[in-house]
Amino acid sequence: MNTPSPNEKLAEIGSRYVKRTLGEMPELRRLLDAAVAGDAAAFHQIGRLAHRIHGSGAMFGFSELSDVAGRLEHRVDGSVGPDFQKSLDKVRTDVDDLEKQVHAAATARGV
Amino acid sequence: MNRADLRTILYVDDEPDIREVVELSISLVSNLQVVTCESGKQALGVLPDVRPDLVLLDVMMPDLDGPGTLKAMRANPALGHIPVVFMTAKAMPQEVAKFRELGAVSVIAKPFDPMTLGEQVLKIWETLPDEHTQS
Repeated sequence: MNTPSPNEKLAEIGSRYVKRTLGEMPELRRLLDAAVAGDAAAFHQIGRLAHRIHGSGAMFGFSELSDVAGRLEHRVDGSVGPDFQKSLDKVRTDVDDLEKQVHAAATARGV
Repeated sequence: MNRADLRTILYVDDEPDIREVVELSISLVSNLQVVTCESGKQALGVLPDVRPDLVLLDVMMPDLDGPGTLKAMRANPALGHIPVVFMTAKAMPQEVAKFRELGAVSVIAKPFDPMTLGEQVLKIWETLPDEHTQS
């Protein structure tokens, strides 16, 4: 049996990563709905999820995924506070973009 | 005193995929091994046995985060000397300065290149002051 090359191993880890991240998208939507309803903790959690994806997507070749997640993270970080709901329209757009990128990554990897 | 070689790294991150990537990255460098932990608390438990030359520490982790783990290491005379490098997606200059003030010797930005992380860590080791690397 041939030993996988480092790039092959990385691709395998990347496929698992994409599958896991895809599975987190319903939670992201739930957090957004909760933030719209006034839940500041949920708004903060959106930032944490975005931070995780920002710090990892590009490692597996999904640079745009990292960039979009970074944009969402920075928008949430810059909006935390009593007036966080003022940024929700833009946050929603960022979440839509992030979800598109995750689905694109999943399609690319066949997961 | 001779500068010791970097032999053992402890990598601490709550993300299983990233732990796997780091294991893969470090395996690309000869004579370098990595032990991984999924939390700051676990890391503090294994540090006395693993005795790494260097710790790579994720910043944002649930319960005990990276800075909290570093603070606990520095408070322990047996662990305080081990150099710590933070790994984080929050790596703007003002954030890096804050991490250095906390006691990290360097910061590696995420996302990192898996194929060159090992070399990046070696370069950091080579630039450390001698008191961190004595044999």
